[in-house]
Amino acid sequence: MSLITPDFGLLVWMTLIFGIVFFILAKFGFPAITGMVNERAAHIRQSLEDAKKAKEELEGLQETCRKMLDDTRKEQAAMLEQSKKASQQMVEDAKARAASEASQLIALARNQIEVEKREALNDVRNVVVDLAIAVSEKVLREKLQKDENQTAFVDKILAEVEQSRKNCQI
Amino acid sequence: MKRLFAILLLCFSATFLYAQHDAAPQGEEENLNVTELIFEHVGDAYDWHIITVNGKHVSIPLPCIVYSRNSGWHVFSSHHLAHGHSYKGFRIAAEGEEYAGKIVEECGGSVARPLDLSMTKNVFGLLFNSALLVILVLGCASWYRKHDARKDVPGGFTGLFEMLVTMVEDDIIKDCVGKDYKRYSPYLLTAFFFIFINNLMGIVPFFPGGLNITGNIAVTMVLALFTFFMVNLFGNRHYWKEILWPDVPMFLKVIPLMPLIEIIGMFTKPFSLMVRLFANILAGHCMILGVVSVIFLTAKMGVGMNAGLSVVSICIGVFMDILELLVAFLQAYVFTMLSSVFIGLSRQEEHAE
Repeated sequence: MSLITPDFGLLVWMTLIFGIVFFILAKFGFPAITGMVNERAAHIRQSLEDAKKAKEELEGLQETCRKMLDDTRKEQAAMLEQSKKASQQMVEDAKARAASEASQLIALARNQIEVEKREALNDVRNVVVDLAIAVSEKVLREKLQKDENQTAFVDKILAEVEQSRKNCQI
Repeated sequence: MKRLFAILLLCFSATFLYAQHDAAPQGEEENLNVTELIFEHVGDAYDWHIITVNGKHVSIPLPCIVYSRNSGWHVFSSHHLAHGHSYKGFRIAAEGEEYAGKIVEECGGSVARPLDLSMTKNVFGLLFNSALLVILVLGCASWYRKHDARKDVPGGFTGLFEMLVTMVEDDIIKDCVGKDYKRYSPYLLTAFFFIFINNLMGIVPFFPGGLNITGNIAVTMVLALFTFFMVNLFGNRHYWKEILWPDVPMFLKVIPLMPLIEIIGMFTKPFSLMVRLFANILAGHCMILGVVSVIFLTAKMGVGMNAGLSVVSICIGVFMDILELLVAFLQAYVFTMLSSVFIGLSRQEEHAE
């Protein structure tokens, strides 16, 4: 029977002991532990979130990097293309200029040649004229050694002058 | 290897448990009284009997504190009362008498029971286990004070303890109590670990364990009363409305049948807590003691019979001890969970209708 009838003394002691244990543990024991555990859980959750965010950021960064690299590559290709074109242009320009310069030079040379030719011709002509004059002088001198010849000649010349004067008047 | 060691240890402890309680009766009388032995173990006592060597009792005398209506307060050591001796008019009532096993006072031929606040075996067991619990918990708590919880993780015992605490808090308290669980979690955790450590110490067969503390109805009654007050002192309006004016047809409230049932329910819930813990632990202790007693009961039946039954007894004893380990945890768990559920019910908000 005593097994199932609570003993008053033990009841009192148990209440006292359990009350004290409860007080001590509730004040100094469990809140410290659960508080820290919760804090750590919050910290871990925070860290996970941070890591996720960092990962996302990294991915974004990688994306930008890739884009930048692509852009640079494209730019590089464009620049190469451009420089190639420019050099071609330059070569062509140079060629054209060279051609025009050459043709100019040729033209100049031709002119020079022409001029010199003309001068030479002139010289030749002068010489011929001088020769002709000298020859005709000699011929005239030979012819005019007789007086009648002189008079006839003068008359002829006068007539010619007369003629040319008449022509002028008309 | 560790497991094997544990099983061997349990084997030995089972035998020790027996030796602790059995040697005395065997030395004094030929016939072993198993009932008496078991009841002596599971009951309370005024002295803490540790072991009997060659018929000589080794026990710790404990203080008896009694208040008599005739002579006032008395405080004396229990060794004055050993072997049926009388001291200052007090003696321990013998078997068959009224108040058997308790201190009684003789005054003028009649036997009366004084107000008995003696620090009995169970009180000392409680004190010891409580001190152990407080030291363990505060030891763990001090680890957290000394470390930055965000940088260090406890290992060893603190880690194990943290695992238990988080298990109880996350699996039981958070789920069963509901949103303001933080208010109740210190009580529920205390109840869990208090019951758990007392259950475990009860399985340890030698001094200072082996006491049937959580299998004592006074102990479980106090625990159940704590839960009762936790439930009813902080119950909200909805809880009291459900008890006093529940949503049932009017005629069930005019003749207050439903309120009556609900009010009875208020008391049966902690009552069930009290009886469940008490009966489980008591039954476990009785089973183990009974099984081990088989060895000594069969001692006179010949060597072969005794040896055979001893092997069987040890096997069952080991099984029972392991089962009791499970029960020790399970009963602490169940008590905490049901307390949480009752508290959760008393904090429930009105259903959205």
